[in-house]
Amino acid sequence: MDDSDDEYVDSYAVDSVQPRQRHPRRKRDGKSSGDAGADSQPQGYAWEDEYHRSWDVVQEDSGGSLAGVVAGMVEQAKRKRVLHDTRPVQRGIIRNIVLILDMSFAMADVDMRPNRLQVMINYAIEFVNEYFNQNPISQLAIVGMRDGIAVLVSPLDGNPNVHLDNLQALRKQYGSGVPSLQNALEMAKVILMHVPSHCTKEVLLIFGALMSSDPGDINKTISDLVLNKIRVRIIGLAAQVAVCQRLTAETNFGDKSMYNVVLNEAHFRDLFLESTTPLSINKLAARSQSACVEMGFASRVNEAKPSLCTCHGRLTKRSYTCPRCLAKVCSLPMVCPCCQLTLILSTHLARSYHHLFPLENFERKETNLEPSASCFGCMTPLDHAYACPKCHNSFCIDCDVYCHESLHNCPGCEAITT
Amino acid sequence: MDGVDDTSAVLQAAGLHQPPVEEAPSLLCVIIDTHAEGWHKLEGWSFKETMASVMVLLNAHMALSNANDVAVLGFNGMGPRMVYPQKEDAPLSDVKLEGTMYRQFHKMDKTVLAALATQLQETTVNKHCSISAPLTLALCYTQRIMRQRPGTRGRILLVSVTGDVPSKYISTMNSIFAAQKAHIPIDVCKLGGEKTNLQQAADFTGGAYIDIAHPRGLVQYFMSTFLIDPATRQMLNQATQPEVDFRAVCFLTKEVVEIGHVCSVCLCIMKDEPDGSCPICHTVFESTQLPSFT
Repeated sequence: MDDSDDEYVDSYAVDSVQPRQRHPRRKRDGKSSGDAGADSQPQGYAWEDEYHRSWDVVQEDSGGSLAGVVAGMVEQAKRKRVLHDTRPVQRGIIRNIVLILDMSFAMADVDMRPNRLQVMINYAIEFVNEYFNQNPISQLAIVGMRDGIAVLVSPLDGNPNVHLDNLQALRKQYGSGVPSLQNALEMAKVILMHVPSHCTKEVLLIFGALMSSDPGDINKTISDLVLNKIRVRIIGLAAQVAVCQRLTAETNFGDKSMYNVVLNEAHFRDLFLESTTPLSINKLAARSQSACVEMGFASRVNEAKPSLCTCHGRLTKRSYTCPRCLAKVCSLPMVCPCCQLTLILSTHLARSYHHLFPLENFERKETNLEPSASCFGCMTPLDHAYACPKCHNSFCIDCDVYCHESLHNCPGCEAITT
Repeated sequence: MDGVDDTSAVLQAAGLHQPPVEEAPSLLCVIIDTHAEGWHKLEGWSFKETMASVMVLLNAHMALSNANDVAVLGFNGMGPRMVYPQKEDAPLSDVKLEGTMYRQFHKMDKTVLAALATQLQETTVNKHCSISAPLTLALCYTQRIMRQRPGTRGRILLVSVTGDVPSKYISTMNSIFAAQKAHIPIDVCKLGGEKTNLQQAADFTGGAYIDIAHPRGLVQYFMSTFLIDPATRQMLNQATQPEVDFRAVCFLTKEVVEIGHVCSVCLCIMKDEPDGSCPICHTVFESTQLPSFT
């Protein structure tokens, strides 16, 4: 009865994959980079590990009930998501990502329902929304891999609606032909060629197949990517592939945590959405990646009669005016179609501030709580308390998750008046 | 498959399966500024009179539907505090009634008025609480209610009489974005104090911002604008302020800028291009870019 399903689930619960992504800068086994080697413990294969059964972990409490244990496990799972890296590191806030989607024969597999391609498109739509929400002054392009070539799905643009329309159009297609990593990466390289040096150049690749049909030497493409300072992150849907491992390690200064293989659909979504957080900048690369950028803060106008906008040629009443050439655009952020000035609102910058000043992780309180203790945020009675290391107020697990995932404020620290 | 188990059809025929026609329950969070100094500056208008109008609004909201709920927060120099519901609430049956008032109304009125009156007495000289503090608390509480009773829609009304604390700009914006993400509109009723980024809060979250010039008609503002739920507001012609102040301010000179320079590392806004390094985060800028022809 020892089938492999059980171990599979368990390895997710025991967290053998997760910690790698949570410490993006932790170096592992620096074979290719040479500068790592601090943490070079050899990792054995999964099947060599001691066998864990998920039902062994669950123990009845003194009353013979499982409720407490199950509640504990649910809490642990919630907790897992909120433990972010809060060290103040420099992050590349102005990003340019090329999202490469595998649209080959491998995406017709039905191990995810209804098939891999549809699941991928669903998550890609969610990713685009979240990416522009968190990185409003960044840009995105989408490339597909099919029939041995790379196809441009959506050009480099800062407007999420363009990408969402193009992704919706993909739904009608089926996966066909073989994928070509080299062709897709070369196209990404060309797309990112003109990006100024203060912006990050990134590639996020969803790879469903286990093979790649390349016209030339992929090693040359990899070294080209390294030269162009393009960082590649890969999410594999099937199994680890050696060339992907090399590709991610070499383009990320030896960091191997950028290549992950999904365990299930929820994990796929987590990995996909994790890429919305800006990457930390390597110190060596930091110097060339800072600049002072000229930007225009457009003012909003409400007109009594509608007039045409310069960007789409539509009739609009509510619009923004470029402060340099007085052209009228209908949405922000945007590059002015007339004078090429980047037009933003000051609030777009404010949306990125939480990446720069992350909220500290709350610590679990191990001491016994008073019976009347309640959460500082929502006033629920507390079973387990999580305390802010700065203001020492206690919170429930739900407020902890909410504060770290959406709010990015600590209610206790805010309450301190000045 | 319907032939196997047709209980639903039987129930429907008997008229028992109809889902009750009910609007989504709504939670109204009212945040009241209790900085004594701010209320003192309001000429010809008192805290007591304002609270009378606020109580009318709260009671009206509760009366609209059985499932509706309210929460009240106050904030002053001592920090934000939950006023209603209280942590240790006396059971409803313990509330002594005078006359024929609805028990829930009576209990709420008493708790809110007593707690806010105490807050107003607190003398806190030169201490200010940013609106980010009560907003953060209100959002946490609204999230809790939304978790406990799925389908609940939350909204926040802020009655403000003071300006904002500039050092809390980032946390204020964070809470505004969180409200926007959770579709919680923030309504702002501004009675006094200088203009703040509350205008942006209302604009982003789809709430109403009203700078009240004639506080005598306060109850009318409340009943005609803030009581109406945001979905219905779109169908009504409402008094709002069309111009929202979105201007950016230079971090160094505090001047308003139209075309500014932004550091790509710390995103600070500067009026003039700094030479060499960022004055805020001290990053040395790369100077390989071609000089501009100006």
